Amino acid sequence: MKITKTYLILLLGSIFLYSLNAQADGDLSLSLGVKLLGANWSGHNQNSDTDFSAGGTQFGLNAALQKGRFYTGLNLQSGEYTFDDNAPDQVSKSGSQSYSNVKIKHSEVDLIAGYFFWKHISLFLDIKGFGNQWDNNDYKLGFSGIGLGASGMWPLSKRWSLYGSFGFVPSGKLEANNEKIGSGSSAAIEFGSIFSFNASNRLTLGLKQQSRTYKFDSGDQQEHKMNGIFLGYSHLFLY
Amino acid sequence: MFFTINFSRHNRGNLHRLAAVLLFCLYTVVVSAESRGITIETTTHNNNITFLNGTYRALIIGNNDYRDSEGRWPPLKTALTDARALKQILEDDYGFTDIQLLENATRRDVLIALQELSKRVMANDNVLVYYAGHGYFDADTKKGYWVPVDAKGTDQTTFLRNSTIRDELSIIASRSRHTLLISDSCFSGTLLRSNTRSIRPEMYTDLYYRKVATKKSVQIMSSGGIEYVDDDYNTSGHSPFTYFLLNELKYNDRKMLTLSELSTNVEKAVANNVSQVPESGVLQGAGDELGEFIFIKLNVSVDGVPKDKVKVQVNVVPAEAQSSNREPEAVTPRKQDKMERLVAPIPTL
Repeated sequence: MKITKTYLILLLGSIFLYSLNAQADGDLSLSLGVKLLGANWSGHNQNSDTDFSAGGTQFGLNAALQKGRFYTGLNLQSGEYTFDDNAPDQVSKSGSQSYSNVKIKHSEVDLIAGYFFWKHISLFLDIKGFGNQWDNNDYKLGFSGIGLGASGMWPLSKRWSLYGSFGFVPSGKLEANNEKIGSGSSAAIEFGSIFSFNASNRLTLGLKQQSRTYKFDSGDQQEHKMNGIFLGYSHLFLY
Repeated sequence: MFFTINFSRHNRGNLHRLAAVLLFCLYTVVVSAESRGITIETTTHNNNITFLNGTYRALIIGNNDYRDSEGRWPPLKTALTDARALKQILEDDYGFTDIQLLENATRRDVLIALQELSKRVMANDNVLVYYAGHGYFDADTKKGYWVPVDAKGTDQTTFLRNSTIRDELSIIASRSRHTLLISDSCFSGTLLRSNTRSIRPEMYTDLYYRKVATKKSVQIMSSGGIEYVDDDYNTSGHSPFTYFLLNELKYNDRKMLTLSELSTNVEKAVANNVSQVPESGVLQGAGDELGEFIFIKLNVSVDGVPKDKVKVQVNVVPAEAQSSNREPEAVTPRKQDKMERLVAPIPTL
């Protein structure tokens, strides 16, 4: 695990240095965006052998800086999901507890650095974190890890482009109330279209699917899936 | 916005280190971008060249990413880097203030850019057009072509015929003082069939420069004759022709450099190192009066004079038409440039 992280950090550093040298004359742009995501969160609690499902919306803010082929950015998003029936079990070191009719506040943060190694395709690293907070008690579950992904953007016309990305966090840490309780992995795929009103303003519409597997030290396991549709608006400052 | 993510002390330490790397690089990117906002100072005018008072303009075309589904035109490695490097050096060292860089240009892109350029040009301007990309020569008809990125196989209607390029250049040349075409592609020598003018080095006097600067010129410099030319020179990332062209421009230590001087040096260097021979000459029938395109280096070293005292003043304000009553046409804003920029949406996992 430590070796994997070291390699990822080295890769990240290499991308930065390579991009600085290779694309010193690239155009600079800053993008500020907002995003609304409607998603269905479903999954399975292995221990209690229950399925859960809920709908919810997330609101997100993001900022990205692109210089030539290199880009970096920050994404924050948060929303609430109401589980009318079963909800994901609350797992701690001592065991798990099932609940129903609860609301869970779900938040995500991504710190991204990527490089367009090809004209339309980039590779990126994502320092990924997310947290779930149950409303019925103080239980909080957090996940953090470093992921690797590929993204692509393909202009169809002057105003329309397609884009997509996929990637995974091979191994991340699960914590409940500041205590490590297991590990997990995560994968995501998204694709959509971009409509540019002009050079500075654009809308994005797309679909996103996230899959996560949690393996708790207690032996419990959970599968999570989030299928969503999102609408975003970005304002670009082009220098 | 509230986040419920919690990190352990150990993990937090790693993330902090990674975040520090990110922030440092972000800072470096921004600072490096700012530092390239180059200002051409004209404070010291002891090398004031008053007889060249037009704007220096350039259209630079670099074609790497060919889309030919028939595979006749494979992607090139160096045309884009050649074009970008030339743009940089013209901007930084030679006071070109109006430079349009066309990357991976289609046939239409090239024609539109040439037409827009002809609208911007004024009477005393110095105009350079550079092309790096595939070229084609039809042995039957003896016609040469530039091959744009949207060319389809051997369908010559999707190419840019030399005569079309000549026509567009002639329009530009009719409106400017000095026009120079530099073509780095296979068979680019078919654009010209005239020998270079050359004089002995000792004849490059101030009087000579003044004479050739005031006479109209329409010149061409090509990477080869009717022959194939190399793409990557010694893995330099540049074609041999542009490699030596950039070298000459970079290491030139004279305040004025005529195309004849430049081409002589580039031709020798290229011919000595690879099996191609660049050529230069004039665009026939476009009004050339044996003038010379002159590159003016902004910061040169002169014996006995401190370096900071030899900045050359270039009057980059478009001179009022002295020999023409033509009103300048409105410049079409290049809105397309920004629209065409690929700014990626931030991907997330």
